[in-house]
Amino acid sequence: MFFLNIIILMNDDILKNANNLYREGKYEEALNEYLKIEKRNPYLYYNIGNSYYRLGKKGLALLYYKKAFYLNPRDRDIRNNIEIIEGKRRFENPIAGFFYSFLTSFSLNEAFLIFILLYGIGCILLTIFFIKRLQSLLITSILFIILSFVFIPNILYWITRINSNECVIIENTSGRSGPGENFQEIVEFQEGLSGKVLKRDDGWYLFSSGEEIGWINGGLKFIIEK
Amino acid sequence: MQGIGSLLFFILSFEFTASVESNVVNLGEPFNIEVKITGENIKEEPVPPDLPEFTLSGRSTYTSSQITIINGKMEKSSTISYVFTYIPKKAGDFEIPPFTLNYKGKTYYTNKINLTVVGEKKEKKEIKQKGSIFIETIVSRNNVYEGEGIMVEYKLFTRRRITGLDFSKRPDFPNFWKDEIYVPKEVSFKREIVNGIEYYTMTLYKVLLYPLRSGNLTIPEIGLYVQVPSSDFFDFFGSTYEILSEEKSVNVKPLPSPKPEGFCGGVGNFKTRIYFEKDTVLSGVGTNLVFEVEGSGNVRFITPPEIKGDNEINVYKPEEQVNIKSKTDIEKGVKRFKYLVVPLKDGFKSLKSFRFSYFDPKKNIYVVDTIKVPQLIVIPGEMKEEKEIKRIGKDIYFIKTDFKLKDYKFLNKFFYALTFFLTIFPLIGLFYFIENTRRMKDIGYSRLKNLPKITKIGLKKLKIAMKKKDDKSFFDQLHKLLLDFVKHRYNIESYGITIDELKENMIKKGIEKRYVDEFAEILNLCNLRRYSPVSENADIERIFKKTKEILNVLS
Repeated sequence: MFFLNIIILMNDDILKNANNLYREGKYEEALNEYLKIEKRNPYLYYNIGNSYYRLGKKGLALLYYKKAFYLNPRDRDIRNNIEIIEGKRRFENPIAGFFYSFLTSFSLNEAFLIFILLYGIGCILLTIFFIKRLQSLLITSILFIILSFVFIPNILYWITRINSNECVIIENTSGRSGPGENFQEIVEFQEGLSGKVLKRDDGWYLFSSGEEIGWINGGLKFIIEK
Repeated sequence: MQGIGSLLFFILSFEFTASVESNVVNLGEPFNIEVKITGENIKEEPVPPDLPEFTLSGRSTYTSSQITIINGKMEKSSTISYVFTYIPKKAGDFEIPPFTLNYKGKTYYTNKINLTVVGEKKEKKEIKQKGSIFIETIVSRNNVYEGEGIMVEYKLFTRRRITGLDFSKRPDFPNFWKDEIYVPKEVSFKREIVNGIEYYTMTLYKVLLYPLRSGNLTIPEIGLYVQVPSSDFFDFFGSTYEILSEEKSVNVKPLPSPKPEGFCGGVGNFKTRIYFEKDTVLSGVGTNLVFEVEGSGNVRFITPPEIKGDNEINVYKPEEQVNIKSKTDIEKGVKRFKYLVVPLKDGFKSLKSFRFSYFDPKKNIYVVDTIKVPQLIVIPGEMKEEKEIKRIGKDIYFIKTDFKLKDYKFLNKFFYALTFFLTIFPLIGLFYFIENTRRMKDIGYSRLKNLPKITKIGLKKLKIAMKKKDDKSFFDQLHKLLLDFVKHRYNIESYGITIDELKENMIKKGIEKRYVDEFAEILNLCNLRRYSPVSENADIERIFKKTKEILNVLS
């Protein structure tokens, strides 16, 4: 316990120090300090992203912003900085826009906890109904369960995203038509482009930005490392 | 059902009316009253009322019949016309009471007829007899003030069949402002009875007029070409007549003078409202001052009152909107004046109040209102620049400094497991629910479920009795256990029946006779030992063992 406390204190000191370095414009030192803290925390990721951005590494900056976004999608600062790099996400179909903003208004954990709470209460009430046969409990429990189902798309959306091999191009790379140097270069992927890896083959990745696809070996990082 | 059908048909088709050709007749000259009965096979005759002022000089009858098919069912109806010819004995106005008809035990009455008998050559009144086709000009009011509306309707009355119609003269109203209310697009007649005479009528033209000046003004005539079929069989085209309506005049009174200050030309009864569309504005930015006049009268002719600005506030000429809700000779509606107001300096601004007056023709007076303009709050115009945000560049937001370094973990792995785990509870509950429901319904099942418990308790009690060496208690308990066992195991009502009956029931349930006999033997022994206790109890243990054995076999 004592040892753990020391680590927390150490981490807090490192964070303070890094923040001060960032304030002073010493982005590289700040970044090195931030990277010493091995925690999965959205705000730490956000600060790392900022440091990378200041150092001109848009790809890595976006990578960390996205990591942060996965953990706290409602945060205004994180959203803003992603928009600075990627541009504002626009939906031609207003219904799709509505669904996107609904799905990203709760993080996986938030949605999961709300769901479990509502679903749990619903299940317990339903169980009591079955044992005690109190008619009023039936309606209440079903309402709770139905309400909990509202959050299922949210949870499934995030689970899909986490498992979807989402990645960011961290340096300009050309995509080839096949997994090997002998295949023709067909597309140039710019740093800071986000997309998905569709296939892997002996160190090569088939990267898709949504519009273009091409095989690359390296030059990208996964948002969720496995 | 058929009865109701024919009754309905009777109600629909039965008609009993009386009419005269003209309701002004000359003294001593015969005239006809025609009584029509329409219906199916009506043989009863109408009974004329008692008319001492008239002499009945003749009576004739003629019939016409008609076949109607309703829902595939053919109905025959006929019209019988009874024409009574009377000669008036006295001059004056008379009301001819209804003719009566007794039909199927009921008495029916015709309408009453008003009749004027003229002694000397006197001018005929009201809807006059101008032949069988004429045009009547109906004027809603003929004594009005300037600015009051008049509704004029030209209506064609006919008793003859008309095969063609065309206007020969359309009226022109040079002294009036007009709004056409109705112009016919096709020829369509309505049936109307005026003073007991049946006519077919059609509105030719309906117009709302506002006199433009005072004096005796003429409502001009309307002309119509009317084609009627000829009585000559070979004349296919019939003959065409031109008929003209009568000119009418209306008296338009001038409004009393002197007219008060702020008179807006309104004649009627009005209410006003004044408000700013926005009561807080920036200096240099305009808003609308709305002045609404609502009421009945010549709403559309109301002129905008003059609202004056000053060197701190500009008032521009108003925009006008009229919304008429009902079109009669006294129109109802709203007129809205929108003045664009632009304040030049900030502060609380108020415009001067103004007068608004109109003439109320009912009370014959001018109504004068003083209208107070509400206050306008003007805030400095520079605020506009302060409020407007201009984006001059794009950059990322600053780092976060105030947060706890909590380690976040994705809970996705728990999702399926926890959901599954929680779902088990209601499933168990559901199982319990179904089981319970079944037990409540099935006594046998319920008893069988309780069997192990009962057997266990029973055997325990036996053991205690055995240890205490209480012979009577042992056999009492054994007797009870055996009966309970049978009751719960085979759902047999074992209490209150003889051992032979019990045996019979057990065999019926398909238990081997060997076991039944053994079972009955123990039971018999119980009965014997319960009531005649034997001092020695050496065989109790043997009986206990045997009981256990047999219960094991049977359960």
